[in-house]
Parts: sequence; structure tokens; C-alpha cells
Amino acid sequence: MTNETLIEKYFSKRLTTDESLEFQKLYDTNPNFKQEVDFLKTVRTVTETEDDAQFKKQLESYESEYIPEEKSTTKTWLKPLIAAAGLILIMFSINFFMTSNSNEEKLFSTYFEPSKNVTSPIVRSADHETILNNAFIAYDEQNYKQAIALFESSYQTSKQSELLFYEGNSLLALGDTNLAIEKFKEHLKYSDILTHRSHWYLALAYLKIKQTDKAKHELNALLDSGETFKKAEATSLLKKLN
Amino acid sequence: MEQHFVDALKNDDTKLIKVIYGDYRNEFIFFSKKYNIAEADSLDIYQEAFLAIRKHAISGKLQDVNSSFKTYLFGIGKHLIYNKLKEYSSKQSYDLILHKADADYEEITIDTSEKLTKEQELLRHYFKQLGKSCQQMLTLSFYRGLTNDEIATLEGYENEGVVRSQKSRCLKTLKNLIKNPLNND
Repeated sequence: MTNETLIEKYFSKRLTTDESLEFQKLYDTNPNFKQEVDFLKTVRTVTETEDDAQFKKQLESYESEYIPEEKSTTKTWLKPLIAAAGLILIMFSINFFMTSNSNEEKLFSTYFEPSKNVTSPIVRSADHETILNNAFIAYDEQNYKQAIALFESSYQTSKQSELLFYEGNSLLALGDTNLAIEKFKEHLKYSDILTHRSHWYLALAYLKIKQTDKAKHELNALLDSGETFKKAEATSLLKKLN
Repeated sequence: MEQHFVDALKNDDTKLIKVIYGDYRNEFIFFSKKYNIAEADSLDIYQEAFLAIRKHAISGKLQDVNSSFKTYLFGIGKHLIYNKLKEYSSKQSYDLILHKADADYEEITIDTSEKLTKEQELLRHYFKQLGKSCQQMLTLSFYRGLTNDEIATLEGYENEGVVRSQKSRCLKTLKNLIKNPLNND
């Protein structure tokens, strides 16, 4: 077993008894091994601290939805107004649910989530000031307008077809559906590791503009491609459309 | 313990976490009122207890716990309430014994997390300069203890080889940031 595998198993707590002994022996006798493991232990502590801090923020964000009790002493003249507003809201929502047209829209928002960046890990530092790196930073931060411009410019010079995929995702997230469709179609002309995934997003884009047949066609194409990405989602969406 | 609650905490199922958080929130505030905890403090304590139960879920500690999720959560809460009362009592005279009578929930002691050392703080500083996907990758590998295969499935990477090479790139970047801090600050 390589040292790398041994270390990986150590951090995922999957070492067998024998492997534990081997690990401990290396740790005690090999200074380089010890240095690497100690570094990674620090990484573990740091990621734990950061992860906790993120989770704490998440919990705090829930609190914004709870209204403090003192504020609930609403002025009396507001009450009939609130009732009227409520009534109007109910009427609107009945109207909303009665129109079946919005069904596609709802399915779209249920299923659509911009793809994660699985192509290039981004680096925040001065010596990584490349257009592509900045494009992925903007994309990660959901700053899609900027991301689109940067992907476009990076694609023009590098002709890296995967960038079309992320550009399409950004356009779709911004609601620029027709342009997104163009991008995904263009991406499908190439063959890279993300090509099949474009079928999924193209299907959602068609769904958004209510071209259900084309959406179904793309979903079938995704399933036929043997790609496991979004397989379960595609199957369930297809069922709902049929 | 309810396995789906434990899984939700382990797998960051934010929707379900939000529901669980809401389910016990008001009852917990009411519970801490019995101990004369100020409302602002009781929310802090509730969140602290929630964070602690998540840590226990991730570390696998909840695997052999027989009590319900709620009993465990309130047990941790009780521990934190006692700590808070001690804090109150150091500021003014406060009779702690009065409150020991409550037997609804058994107190569950938790480890208080230690402050980061200088070296760790420094690493944290550089860690934050990494991209989101690198941060996520390292968190899943080292804190959560996921294997490369598991990360590939969870995050939609092509295969474990891609995860392996991305992870080593992330670590390399992190090490470079530490070595050459002048270029980056």
C-alpha cells in the first residue's frame, strides 16, 4: 500500500489494525511522512473550525424568519388592511394554481440548479490572475453577468469546449433562456467530459420556454448516453412530463 | 436515535435541518426560561447545542445513542445552560442548586472546542484564500473523512482519480500560499 493511500485511509478512519501499526511505524520513523500527516491534521482542525463557523451562520440565517414577540403589537388600524391584503393574495394564488401554463415554470425551478464547477479548482491569489480563474471565481460567487463575459473571452482564446457549458449555465441562471439554448447546442457539437450533461440543462431550458417535446427529447438523449449525472432526476422529470 | 435526522446533519441536507431547527426552537426557549436564561442567550445556547449535535453526528458519536434526537439535543442544551448559569453566578450571586431539580432531560457533557493555535490560525487565513471548490474538497476529505470515491459521487466528479488529482492540486496551492506569503498578501 502506498503512503498516500495509507494517509487517505487514516483520515477516513478506515485503517485496519495491521495498517494502523504500519501507519504508526512510518509516523515514528519517517520524518517526511510525519511532517505530511501533521500538516494534514492541521488542515483537518482548520476545516472543522471553518465548517462549524459556516453552519453557525446557516443557523443564524434561519432566525431572520422568526419575528421577535415585541414587534407583534400591530397597530389596530392595520388589521383590516392586512386582512384585505391577505384576501387579494389568496385570490392571486388561486389564479396562479389554476393556470396550468405555469407548470413548466414550476418544474424548471424545482429542477434547475447551476452546475458546480467540476473543471478547474479556483485559486485566489495574485499569481493566478488569469481570465479563466476569474471566470470561475465569478461563477462560484453567482456573479453570472461577469462570468459570462469572462467565459466568452476565455473560450475565444482557448477554444476549451467545456467553457460553453458553464456559459450556458450562467445564461440559464440569469433567465436568458434562448441564448443559453444556443450555447448548450453549440457545446453538444463537441465531445468533452461534460458534453452529455448539456442534455440535462438544454432540457430544462426548453422546459422553461414551454417546448415540452424538445425537453423530453433531450432527457431521453441524456438517459441514452449512459451518463449517470442527474439520471434519477431526469427519469422523474420525464415521468412528470408524460 | 432517528437515523434520518443524523443523516441530514451529516450530509448537509439544509432543507431538513431547517425544519428540525424550527421544530424544537420555541420549546427550547421555553425550556431555558425555566432556568431564568435571558431570551437572547437562550437562542445562542440553542444554536450552540445544535452545532454540537451536528459535530457528534459527523464524528459518529450518535451511532450508539439510544435516546431520541430531542432528548439528546436538550441534554446538550442543559449542559450549556448550566455553563451559562455559572457564568451568571460569577457576576452576581446566584443559587445554582435551585435548578438541579429538573429531571426532564439528562445532562449531556460536551467537549468545548479549543482555540486555534497561531500556526492553525495562519493556515486558516490561507485556507480562506482557496476557491470554494477547494475548500469544500478539503473539508470533505479531512474533517468529514470521506473517501475519494464518496466525494466523486457526492460532488459529481467524473471518478475518484479526478478527485485525487484535484485534491492534491488544492493541497499544493495551500502549501505554496504558506511558503510564499509575500506574493499574495
